[in-house]
Amino acid sequence: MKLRVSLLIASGLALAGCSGDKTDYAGVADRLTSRVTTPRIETPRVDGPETVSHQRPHLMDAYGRYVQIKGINVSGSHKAPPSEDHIKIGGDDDPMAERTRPSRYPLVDTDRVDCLNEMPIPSDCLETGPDGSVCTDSDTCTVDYLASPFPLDEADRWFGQMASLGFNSVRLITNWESIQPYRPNSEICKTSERYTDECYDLEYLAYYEALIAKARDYGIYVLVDMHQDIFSRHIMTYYNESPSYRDAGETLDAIPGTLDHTILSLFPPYTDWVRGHGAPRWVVQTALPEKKMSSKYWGMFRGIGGLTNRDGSLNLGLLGTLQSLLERFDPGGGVPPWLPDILDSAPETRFEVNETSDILPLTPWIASGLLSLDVDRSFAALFAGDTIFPNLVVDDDGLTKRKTDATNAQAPDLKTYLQGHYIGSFLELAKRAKSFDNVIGYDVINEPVGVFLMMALGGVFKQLVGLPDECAAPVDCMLPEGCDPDSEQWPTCLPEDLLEEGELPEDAYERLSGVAGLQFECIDERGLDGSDQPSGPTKWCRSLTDKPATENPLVLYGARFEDTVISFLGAELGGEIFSLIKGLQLLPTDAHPYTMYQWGLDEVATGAALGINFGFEQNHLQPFYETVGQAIQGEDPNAIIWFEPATSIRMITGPMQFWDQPLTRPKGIDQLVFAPHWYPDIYPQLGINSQPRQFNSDEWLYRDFTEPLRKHMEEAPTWLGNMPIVFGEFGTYFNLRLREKDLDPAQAKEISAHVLNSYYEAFEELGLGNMVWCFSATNDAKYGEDWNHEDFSVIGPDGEPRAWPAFVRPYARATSGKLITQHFVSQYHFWDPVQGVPRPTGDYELRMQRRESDEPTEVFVPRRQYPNGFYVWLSDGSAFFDHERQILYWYPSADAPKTNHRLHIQPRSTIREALDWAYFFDEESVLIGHQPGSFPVEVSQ
Amino acid sequence: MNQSIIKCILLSLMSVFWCQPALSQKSMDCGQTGHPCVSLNADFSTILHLRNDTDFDSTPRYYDVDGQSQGQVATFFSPTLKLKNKDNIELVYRIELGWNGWSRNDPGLPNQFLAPEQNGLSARHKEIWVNWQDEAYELKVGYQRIADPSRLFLDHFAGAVQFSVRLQAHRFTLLAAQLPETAYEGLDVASDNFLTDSFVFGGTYQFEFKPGFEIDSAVYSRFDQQSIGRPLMLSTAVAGLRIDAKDYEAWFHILGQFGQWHGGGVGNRDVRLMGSAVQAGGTRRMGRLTLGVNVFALSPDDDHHGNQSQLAFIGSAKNNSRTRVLTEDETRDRYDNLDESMGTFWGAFIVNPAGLMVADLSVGYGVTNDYELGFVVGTGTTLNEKRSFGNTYVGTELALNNTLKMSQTLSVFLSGFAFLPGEAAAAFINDIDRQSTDYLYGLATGLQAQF
Repeated sequence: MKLRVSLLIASGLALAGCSGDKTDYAGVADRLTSRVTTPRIETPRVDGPETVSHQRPHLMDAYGRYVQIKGINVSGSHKAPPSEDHIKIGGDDDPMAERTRPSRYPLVDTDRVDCLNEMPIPSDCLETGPDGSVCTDSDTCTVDYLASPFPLDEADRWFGQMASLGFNSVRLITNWESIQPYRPNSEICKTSERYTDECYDLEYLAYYEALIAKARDYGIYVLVDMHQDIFSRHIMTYYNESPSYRDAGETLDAIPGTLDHTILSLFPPYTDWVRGHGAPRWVVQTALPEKKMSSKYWGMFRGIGGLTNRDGSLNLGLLGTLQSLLERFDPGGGVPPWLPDILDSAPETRFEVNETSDILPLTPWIASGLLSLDVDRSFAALFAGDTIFPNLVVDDDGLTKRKTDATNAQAPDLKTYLQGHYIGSFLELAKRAKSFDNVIGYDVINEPVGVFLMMALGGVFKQLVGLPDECAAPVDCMLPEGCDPDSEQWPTCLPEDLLEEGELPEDAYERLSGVAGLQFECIDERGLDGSDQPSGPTKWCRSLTDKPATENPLVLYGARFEDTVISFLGAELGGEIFSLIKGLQLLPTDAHPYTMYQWGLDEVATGAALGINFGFEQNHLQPFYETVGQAIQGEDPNAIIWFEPATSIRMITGPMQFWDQPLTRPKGIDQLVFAPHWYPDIYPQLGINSQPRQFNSDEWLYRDFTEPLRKHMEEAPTWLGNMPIVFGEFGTYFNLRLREKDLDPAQAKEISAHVLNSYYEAFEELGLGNMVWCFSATNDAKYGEDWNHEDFSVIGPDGEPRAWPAFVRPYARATSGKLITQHFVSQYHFWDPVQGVPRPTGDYELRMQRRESDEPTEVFVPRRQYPNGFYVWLSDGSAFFDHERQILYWYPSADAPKTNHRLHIQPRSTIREALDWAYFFDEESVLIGHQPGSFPVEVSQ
Repeated sequence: MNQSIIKCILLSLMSVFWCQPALSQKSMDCGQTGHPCVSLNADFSTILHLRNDTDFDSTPRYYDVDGQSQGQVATFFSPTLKLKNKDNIELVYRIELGWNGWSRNDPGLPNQFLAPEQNGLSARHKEIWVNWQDEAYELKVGYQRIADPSRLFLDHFAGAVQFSVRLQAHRFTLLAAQLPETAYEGLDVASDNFLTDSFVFGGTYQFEFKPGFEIDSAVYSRFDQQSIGRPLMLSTAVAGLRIDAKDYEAWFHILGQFGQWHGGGVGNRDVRLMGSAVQAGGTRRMGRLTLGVNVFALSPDDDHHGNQSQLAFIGSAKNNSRTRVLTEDETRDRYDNLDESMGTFWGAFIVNPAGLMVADLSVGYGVTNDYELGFVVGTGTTLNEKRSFGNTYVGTELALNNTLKMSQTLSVFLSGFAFLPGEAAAAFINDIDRQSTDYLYGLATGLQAQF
């Protein structure tokens, strides 16, 4: 009887245990993000009433927890707006299909492949802008960044994926062009509700704001990043990825890596381009006023323009020079079979250097920027337009003019104008972002360039070469100064060797005038000959031929540059090199004001152009950060301003002892984060159209990135005031190649995985936050993120993560105590066996100091790494696992001074024991172990 | 003081009590003599213990120089000193020395108590208390055993004050105890305080409504602040019945718990504590045959860890079961019993989130006056499979015990056991394969003496 009663009661106990409300993790998930700040500590002074203020190198959330950033850049594809277009030849199904020349603007007719094969663009293929006008004649071509990084209706999928892969933050890429695609007060903006009068794209801004909100739903912080690379996508050059040529009636592919391949890449048909991104077209036009950005040749290698003479004939002299040089370097090689293909590319008319951008399709793309005068000048205009171009202002009509030509006497200089609009665009973002507590800051500018070598060299060239002789007519370029029939020196000033036998001086003058007209032009600084203005502006002589002056005894106007070339290389070789340089417009070959104008060097202040290369960080970049940062802070008082070091000479030389001018803490800004970038040597080799980098399969297995990252880290405490550090970018290509041909090419992905693993191990070792480059929802098998063939996305073309065992790893998202260390052992970790110690693959260890918050320490524990469940050991407290979000919540209990807390995770294994664990989690299943406090609570001494 | 007492005191130092005639263990208790005395009792055991494995999984560990089997010869000695003065005040001091494994106990060391654990002497001050009583009142203060009538909730050795009032058949007892806790706050007076401690207060009422028949009731309140900022308050009520007759004993108790763990759940939410337990059993002596049965059940938690209710019983891990693998072997605690190993410590208490029910049956037969054969079979099950990895069967224990009495106070024994584990036990116990259910078997043999 008693037994029956007991059993009944026990059954009741059992029934009571089966029900129960589900654990409400959603309520806790609301706190996955909160307002983040960078705290300061105030130490009372002994010598006064105030305090010594120090910034603490931490990011802390609203609950007093230390936020550990593990983020991803979204999106690598944002550099190419969805409004760009191209056609895949062979259909969309083939991921490796050839494609047509890409278009900066939407296609008019997607059936007209010839519109994107022909170069220059046929006139009836010109794209139209949103207002119906032909956009190449104006800067109103359709520019639309909506749905970049992805459409809003896909946001759940992608943010959900990012969260499931463990990212707690995104560096949400935007750029100036996204926000302000057209020049302020353009007609298109005044007539469209989509834009404000200042031409801010309201639809895009609303879209960006919606992305921030959606990220918050997934517990993801957002860093607003005003991105750019080598200034603008409008500074661009096309190239042919797979050039071919005809030889004896057969079409042959040029072999990658050969000179043939390099040269032929520069010529149409074009299939790809090297370009920057960031600034809108009107900004580029402002910085580069001489550029004819509507030219149908825009984006073609400038050398092609020299293949045609001004009269439309083929520049046979240039071709002869080219052939002679090839013969010199390859005696007996004969005429290259591809030379006729180059001739076919010759344009109908010659185009000048200012009808296209000057960058070359170099790899890696950063070399294109560093060797581009256009890029130098654009950055110089933004950072130092007031000193580099002291005579230039932006008039009320939006055009860049000399001060003396401007209608507005108070017209702003280039720097003031451009920075003003840059800030205006940024503030439009800040207005919308400030209400979201998951916004962790604003990255002022991505990878600012502080090297202006080409501009400096150009300025020096201008000074050293000097002005040519002045003239009134071309014949003056052949005769000594002032030697004309009306002068007092006539006819004795006429050189005897210019007189033909029996020729009268006046007849000789007339003959020579005809000859001179073919060999020289006498033009002013804007290329006008002023024939209708007898007393017009000053004119100077300029040679019309590619031949050096040494070959033309008639030339007396001064030829310092060619003298230099010839003095180094000799008369023959030097002459040929000079002809090539001039013919292909590789460099300016004289300092004629119009030449300088065409090359954009006419208004460059040489001294300032030289000086900006030294101390760029302190003299230009830091004031820029202060100006922009203070403006953002004015709009959002909670703003944390993230900033980066410049790509500058100092980056190469390091601190320069006595004359170092480092970037220091920007003034007037309350909260700052230092966000450097670092990449190892994974870029393609320097060249044109170089193939992806090739490695041995074991080259990257044992690299340690700790020291190079530490070097960047040390900038913060040394010069920047000890602020938090988060590496804003790092990553690897996924299109690396293997040297070992017998291995499956897919194994090259393992190199990428090892690179990423080395990064993350170093970040863990140094306790650094990080944001990997990158995520792309539209990663392409052939073109990657469709920007300069970069293929960095950790999400592949199939939408699935690549090399995930390296980057999907447990980590502490937020700690309730100060982080001491955390470390995860991935399958790529090198481990030298120790007897009795099992391989620790899958082990994760976290140590932190004290318990400064009652909110839990959050540890992301990915299902991918622990498919069979995982054990948890704790020094103290209790733990709960939200298996849907893959987050372990740890509530430490001990709270004594100097207490160190410890957490250890280990996967379930068939070969390795787990003893004295506190918890075992496997999806929804929880086993609570015997000892809740598995380690002794450590107390620091 | 007369000479006989002096002799008692002197001779007690030689661990011999002969002021009274030699009696059984019970009747030799100094506290019951009614006049000043000193007594020294002792329990002595030396046991050889063997098991084939430490868990139910024969998968070898990655590297285990110790191997997987268990084996030890160890000695346990627990003397109890009792002093009683003329004012009827009793002082009891009991110390446990051991288990001291023969392979690890090195008496040749100069400071054996301070030596590394492997070579040193293991000792515990089990009880140190003073008791005063008269016909109606009793006061007991010190480090003592405190237990509720069922033993399921409270059966600890702790510092406590117990005050009892006896009114004929009624007995009221008030209890205030402080349990050991782990919050670091220092050992000396200057650094210790009551802020992060664990206390139990309670009262029991027992009514012997007829000789040998007693109704038990008790209420306890536990206050625990070891988890900083997350105090726990738990009330436990006990009700039941005990029968202690000539040829049989029986017991039945039911317990209910209610309380709150402030901030103990996910999101620092308060957690409602509502556990329950029940135990019933008895023994029956029929000539040489002794039958025993016991069943107890501890309530499980619901399916969800971290929600706002915690329904598992919070208890002592003590009970009346005669099993030795499923539950504690009270004669030789090896701290590996499944009811503890499958639970988790909450301070001085154990919680089994999966719940637990253990039933056992024992049969003892006195073959001769000196030789007894015993057989125990027990089985256990959890009460919520969701909290025990999808299984409920804990296992079945079979034990055969042979006891040979050399004298009233000396016996040797040989016990063999086998344990057939279930997957519920395997999930908690196994080192590697959480689902392996290899048999566990072993034996123990030794000598036990009482003084």
